[in-house]
Amino acid sequence: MVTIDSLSFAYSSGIKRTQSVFNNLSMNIQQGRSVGILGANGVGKSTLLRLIAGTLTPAFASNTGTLRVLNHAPRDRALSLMQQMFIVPEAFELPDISGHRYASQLSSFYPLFDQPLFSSLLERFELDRQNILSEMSFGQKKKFLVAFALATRCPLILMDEPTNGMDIPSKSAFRDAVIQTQTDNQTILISTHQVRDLESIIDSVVLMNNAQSTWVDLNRLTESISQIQGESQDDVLYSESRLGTQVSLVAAALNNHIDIDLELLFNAFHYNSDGLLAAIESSSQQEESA
Amino acid sequence: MNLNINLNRVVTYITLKHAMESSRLIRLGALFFAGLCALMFLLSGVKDDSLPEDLGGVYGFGILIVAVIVIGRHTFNEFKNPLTSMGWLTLPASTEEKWLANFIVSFFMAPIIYIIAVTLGSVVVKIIHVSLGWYTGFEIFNPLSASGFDLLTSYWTIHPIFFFGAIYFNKSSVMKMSAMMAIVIVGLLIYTAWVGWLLIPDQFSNGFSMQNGDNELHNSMMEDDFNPLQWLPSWSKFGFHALFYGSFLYFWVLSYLRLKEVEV
Repeated sequence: MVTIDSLSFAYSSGIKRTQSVFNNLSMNIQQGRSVGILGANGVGKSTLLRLIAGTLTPAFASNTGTLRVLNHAPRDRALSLMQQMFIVPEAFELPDISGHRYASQLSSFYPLFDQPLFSSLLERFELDRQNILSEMSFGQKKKFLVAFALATRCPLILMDEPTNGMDIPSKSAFRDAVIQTQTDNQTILISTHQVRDLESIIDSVVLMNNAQSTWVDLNRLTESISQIQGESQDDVLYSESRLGTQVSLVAAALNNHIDIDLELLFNAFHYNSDGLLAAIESSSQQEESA
Repeated sequence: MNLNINLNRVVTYITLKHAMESSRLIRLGALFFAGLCALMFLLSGVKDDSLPEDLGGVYGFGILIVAVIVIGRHTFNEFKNPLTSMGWLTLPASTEEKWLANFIVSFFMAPIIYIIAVTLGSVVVKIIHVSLGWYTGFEIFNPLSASGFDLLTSYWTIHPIFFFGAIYFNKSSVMKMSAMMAIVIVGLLIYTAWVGWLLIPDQFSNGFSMQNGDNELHNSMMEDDFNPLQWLPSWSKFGFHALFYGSFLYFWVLSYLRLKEVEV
């Protein structure tokens, strides 16, 4: 679905100076996955989505590097790719027309657009399609665009900070909408730094920082690391105090572990990325050798 | 080059783009039409024996304003706003279709709508004049007349360069392209004068061109249908026309290539 090999990117900030965002990024995201792209501010989450959407030109750390999305080079902006992909940007503007008019005009470009699904999603998000879009609040606009994106039934949906501006019930409705509408052949990439908003939606994460990035399958994460409460004799990757209780991620597959929460994983990567990645890799190497 | 154009999608793109901006366009169009009518009404009543041709300057000025608004501000504007450009760039239509949609609106629709507006405006002014009994000599603009065709051709002449400027520059594209063209034209004039001075130094040193009333060149320039190409041999006239119309194609192709490079 999305194959990235040796991808680099730097923004030009003058004639010669460049601001490097990431180097030698590689990952392979399979069809049907829900992927959270997690990383601190400025590590290049939005840039990665833009590269995948084809609105930026990629560079490659080696001559053999590639960026392929649904078997296309996205920067070519081929029609057949654009019909299979929808992006919800972090910041956007909606026109001075009703939601109904907007959807009826724009949907004609998406061959798989599902009108009944769009109506049910608007209902779920408590939005009236007759309302003027530009007069909606930012959170309502976000919900409207997310509903439209899911209704396109595109095989690849990219969302950049989709829950920004949403209130708590809306975030819950967002999670339900994604879970219930995603099909087996549909991949959803969500970039966010609000990791709790993605819990229960995603099955894998791309962890990014300025030095490296890695794709992690959450379903198999407990084969290499565990989250525990209280003191531990194991190799602690990261630990923090929550309401007086110590919560840690340890480099071991324990039987008495609790579910790994994304925020702890995010912090472990942020403060000890080398240790975390080494723990995950050693587990997969052991599995391969066995 | 593998062109991917579906005319149905081009029409849908035009419809979508204008639906998105319908409120603004209606307000702007109404304001422009009212201003045009007011200007025609005021200028047509200045003197009793004024002829419709006297308003040619007003119509010419009007189409220049249309060029500034439509090509300078409306053409490719969907890719200039960082808050909307992502959606437009990833919209399922090929780059050729996005370019063609903007081309059709700016090259055909805008001047034709303007000429229709001038015609309707002149009808409105005529009705006002007749109903008030002020001035009955004012004639309704005929869009199929030579004046109508002159308006179209003058608009089409400036279209390619402004059209390229619209995608190349984010802001004040018409002003920047006008300044660039002014520099190029002044440069060409200086170069031409220099070449002329090298070839016919006597004529230049005598200061013939603008002061000697008997001079053939000066007399020709004073004629209404002055055509500087009349002195050129036929092969160079062809070269001039090829260069002139070739520049249209050059700027249109450049604008397409620039559109392919647009990023967010």
